[in-house]
Amino acid sequence: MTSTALGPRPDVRVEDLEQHRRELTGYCYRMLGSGFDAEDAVQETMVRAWKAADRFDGRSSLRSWLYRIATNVCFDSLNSRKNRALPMDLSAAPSAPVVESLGAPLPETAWVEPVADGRVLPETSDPAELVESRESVRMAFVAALQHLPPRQRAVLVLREVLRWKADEVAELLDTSVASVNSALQRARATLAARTPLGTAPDPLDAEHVALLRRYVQAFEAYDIAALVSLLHEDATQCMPPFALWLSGPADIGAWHLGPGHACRGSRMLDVRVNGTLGFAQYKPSATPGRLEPWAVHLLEVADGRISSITNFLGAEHFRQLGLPEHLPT
Amino acid sequence: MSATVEIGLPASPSPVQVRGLCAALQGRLTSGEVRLVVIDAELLVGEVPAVEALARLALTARRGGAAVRVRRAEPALWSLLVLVGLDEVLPEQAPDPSPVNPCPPATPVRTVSGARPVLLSRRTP
Repeated sequence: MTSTALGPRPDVRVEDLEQHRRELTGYCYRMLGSGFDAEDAVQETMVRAWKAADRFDGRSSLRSWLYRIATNVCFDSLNSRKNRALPMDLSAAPSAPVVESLGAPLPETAWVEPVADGRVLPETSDPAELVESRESVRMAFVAALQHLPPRQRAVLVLREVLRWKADEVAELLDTSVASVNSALQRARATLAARTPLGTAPDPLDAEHVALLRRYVQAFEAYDIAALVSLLHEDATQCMPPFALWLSGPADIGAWHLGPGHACRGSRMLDVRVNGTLGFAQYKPSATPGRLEPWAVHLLEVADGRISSITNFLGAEHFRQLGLPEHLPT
Repeated sequence: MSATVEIGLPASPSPVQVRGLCAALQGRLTSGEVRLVVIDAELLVGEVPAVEALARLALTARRGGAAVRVRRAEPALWSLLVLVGLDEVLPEQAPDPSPVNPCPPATPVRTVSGARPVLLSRRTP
């Protein structure tokens, strides 16, 4: 195999940059909340790195240098567009479970999107490393950043992006090191608890997987009573690109039995997204014998129940995740 | 007598440039006379190096007992400072009806090949 040297740094090769592509995509997804945007950002990172290879002085590792460039690219991207969100970020009040609540899709809104594991998780056999990597793509950094007070944002960015020491941050912000550490802890906790209740199911946790299987079984059988019995009492459901979101098992059940009844007869395929197990739903179409792509379901769990259901509607997600265009009935 | 130091930043200051600027600023602050550091951000691009440079200069100023103001920053840079929660640490200086006239004439403290000289000047109001 031939290797391509970069300009005046013959010891930096294209392959050296490329081997970081996947983890950089995960990092950029965390910053941007979109797989498409993350891939664009990584491409831009590679181009900038290529052009600036002669300025890589070798004092930091190539990986650190690439991360710095990727951070710049992501901040550029964030400055040029609205932050990505989920419906619950747009409205504090849940919607009524009727079709009128659906309204028109909001294509102008930049939604958080699912991303395939294969594009962002490293190829590793180390379970601990894999768990950590999964955590890193389970929420969008910037979507969560919006929920932090300014002081916590500053501490988080100075400590975790710019890598300042705690005492430097304290001095700049005119506070104590203890306050900085406390703010950082609170910021991390907010990031970790991006959703009020649950966490993404762990694909290696047998109880989580069993709960997910029961969800799929109930959905495919369209046994809404069984589906509702799996839900946490504070469960939510949303369907971007619509702003609608539902709260509580009763309303979620009513939605499925009302406006959502066209999903009866659907089939679900497993799909590895966002470091967890999701489901691609194909629903009956106007073409006999054919099921059409409808939504990618991402669930969260709390206290042994399903605490949130996010249905990413649209065939574009299926294409991005490499899923079949349709299924036979 | 209080004095103001003005610093002009290049578009995308390198870590070396930032360290040089901070060292030069630190030297100017040792007398204890300077009460205000004004950072001219006209050329500064709203990227992470800008945040790093501004924050480092603010830290140096604070250590020297001076306040910091930022002038002529682009909207993109302000929105970035708001996003990262540093807009209060780096407040904007109200536009000055009389243009800043560095006195003595601006002295380049570090010139980077191909880049505009980084200026460190002083004026006494």
